[in-house]
Amino acid sequence: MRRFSLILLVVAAAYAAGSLIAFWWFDALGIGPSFYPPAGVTLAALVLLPKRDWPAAILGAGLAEGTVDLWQGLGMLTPGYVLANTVEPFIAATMIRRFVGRPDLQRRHDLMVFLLFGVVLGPLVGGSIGATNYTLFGEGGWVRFLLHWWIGDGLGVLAVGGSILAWRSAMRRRPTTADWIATAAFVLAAVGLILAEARFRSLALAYLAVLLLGWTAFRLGTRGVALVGFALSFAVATAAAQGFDPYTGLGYRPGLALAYLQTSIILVLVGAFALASEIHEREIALEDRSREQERRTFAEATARREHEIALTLQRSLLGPASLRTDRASVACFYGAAVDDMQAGGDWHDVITLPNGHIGLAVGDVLGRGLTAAAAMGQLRVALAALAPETSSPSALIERLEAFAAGIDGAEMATLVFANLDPVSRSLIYASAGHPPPLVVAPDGTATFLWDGRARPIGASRPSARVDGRARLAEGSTLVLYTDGLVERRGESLDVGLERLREVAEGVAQRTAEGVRDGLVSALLPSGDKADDVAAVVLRLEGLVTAVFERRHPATLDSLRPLRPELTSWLEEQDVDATARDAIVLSVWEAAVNAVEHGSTDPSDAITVRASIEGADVVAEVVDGGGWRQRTPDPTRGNGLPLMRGSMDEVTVTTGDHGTTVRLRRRLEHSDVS
Amino acid sequence: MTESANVRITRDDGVAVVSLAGEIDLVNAAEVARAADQGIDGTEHVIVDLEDIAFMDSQAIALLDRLAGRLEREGRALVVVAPTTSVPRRVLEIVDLGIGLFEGRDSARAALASRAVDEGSPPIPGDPAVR
Repeated sequence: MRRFSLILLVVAAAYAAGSLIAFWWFDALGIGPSFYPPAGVTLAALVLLPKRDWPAAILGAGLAEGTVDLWQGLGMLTPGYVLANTVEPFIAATMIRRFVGRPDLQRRHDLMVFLLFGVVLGPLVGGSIGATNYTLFGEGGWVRFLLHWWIGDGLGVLAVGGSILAWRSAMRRRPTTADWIATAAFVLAAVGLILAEARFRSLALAYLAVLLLGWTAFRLGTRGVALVGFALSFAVATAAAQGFDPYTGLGYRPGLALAYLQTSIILVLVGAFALASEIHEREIALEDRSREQERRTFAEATARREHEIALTLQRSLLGPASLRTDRASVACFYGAAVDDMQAGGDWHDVITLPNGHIGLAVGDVLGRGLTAAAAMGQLRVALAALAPETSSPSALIERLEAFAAGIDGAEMATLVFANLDPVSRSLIYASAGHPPPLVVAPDGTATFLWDGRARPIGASRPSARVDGRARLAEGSTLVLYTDGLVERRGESLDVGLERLREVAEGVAQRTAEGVRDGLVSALLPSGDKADDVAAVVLRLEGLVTAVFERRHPATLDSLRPLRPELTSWLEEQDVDATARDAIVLSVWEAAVNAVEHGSTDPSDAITVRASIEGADVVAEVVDGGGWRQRTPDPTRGNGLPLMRGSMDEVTVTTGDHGTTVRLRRRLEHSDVS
Repeated sequence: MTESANVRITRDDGVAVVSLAGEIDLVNAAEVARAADQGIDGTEHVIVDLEDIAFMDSQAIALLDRLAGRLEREGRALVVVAPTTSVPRRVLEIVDLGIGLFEGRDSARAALASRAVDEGSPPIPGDPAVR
């Protein structure tokens, strides 16, 4: 009840004040209220108040109107005016609330709704009732009356209601002191301009006021426009009441002149409101865009970080990169997809089993990202733990499948596991939906191992797991890989397998590292990795039967005994003279290179190692220093070609701790003329 | 006549025969090159005989290459005797310097004699490979 009375009183007081101002101040010409502020008061109250408070507000407005009308001596006209002035805001507010709720005049759409229903439609309805009332109980002149009401109430709603609603609109930033000072200055300037215009009878000053309003829209936005427009409307009405309005000056009848004047102000105000909302909309769009940009940058950074984590995790979960025993050497490869931000689920492992066998595994967990990488790591570790105590590869995969059922992200995985006895060279292997291993025989013919195949881990349809068996010849090369090595978009897998076979046949006579590098450079040209790739290359080397090893200080003088010593060792091994000369020359060239480029510190040793491995002589020259000053010496340019021309394989590996030159020459190799 | 441990130079009928022997490598290549350079002054053509070489490395090849370059600029010819059975033969085949290789001094001499003396004539081709 208290709330009801309070609202009633406040609305009635504001309405009465506006109404009295309109009658006393503006109605000097006696042609009806030209600018009617109370219309804005009621509309703003209804738009802002909850509907349950509407009766109080409407009652307040009606009481105030009726009282003022009776007091002004309008008599019989009073009930009709009360009706008109309460129906008008009721209809306008109902429509506005229906379309936008509480309008934010800074928004283009809300402003349009406010203008349409508050400024145009409401006053039209009110004016119609008022004009009918006036025609019935007053002096007639329906159209003229309607026009005055419409324009006067429209301006009242726009200037007063607009100000109240704009004040309630959400500000994008808190006004600063400078904003307040600017607002005051603009308001004062607007009033000053209009009063000066009236005083000096100078229309130019009115145009300046229009400019000022435009400037306000830019500088202060909707709220500023509302305030300055409010002040401007009052100032113009005051000036008109005092006898100066520009249209009278142009020779129009006073009533018509006032109507033109008010219409001009309405149009100028609408223009300024529209300008302010347009600017506001653009600023919001800009902000949205930069927020979106920020969000995207953040998302990208997050994705990149996740990718790095996944890659690091994956690398740390992969098996060892190489293995060397006296009968076999293994080199592994892992490459992440180039244009993919996610880590994949490809993996490899090399396990030395307790009975001296070598276990090789390559697998692919379906899916990408951290989940796949983590699942891959768990599978690998489980396999390494289960392998020593599991009798066969197929049984191992069976047990791994049971384990994988409990791993998140390992719902589907393929893998191939091979168990090699390096002494008997017998191979047992099994594949769970994985591409077949490839064996290259010493004569260079490559064969895929298609046995031992069964469903992928996690596949729904059961099928018996079986082992495949093969016996490898000495000097054979075995390649396990994931599909990324052979698959290319829009190409049958058979084409990829055939390509792998051809490349492998070409490089199989190299060491394990050499085969791996040859496969990678031929099958994965840089920038063409659509998928990640894991591969394991095993080379069955002949049994090492003799070893030559010397360490020399890195000086030319201390290298001098190398040639005679190596020569006599090769003679002891019954290496023929041609091969011997070629090997000694190549080892010498490599050693001289190591002295010249490998080390700046003469005390760093150079290690020369040579061994008979099956039918091969394999030699290594290892220097201990980093290749700090690697200035090319033109007189030494023939060293590498000489080595390449003399040996079957030359690989140069430069690492952090020096350079290793690895040389291999097959002894039956027909080199003799 | 100039002598060093590995170099022996004889002159005969305007042709200097540089006989290299033993091992020529990074350690002594510069010394050998100096001896050879001095010993061939004042002759028309040069035969380098590698028949008695026990070992030569890429430094020895660089030496030959520089020598051939110098002689070509001076309008003189260089041929090399490196029998198919000799150690340097394979090395010189691997690093093809564009110098004619001959089985023996006689065939090298004959090739030099038949060569037109004017400048700009092509390098003398070696014996056909006896492979």
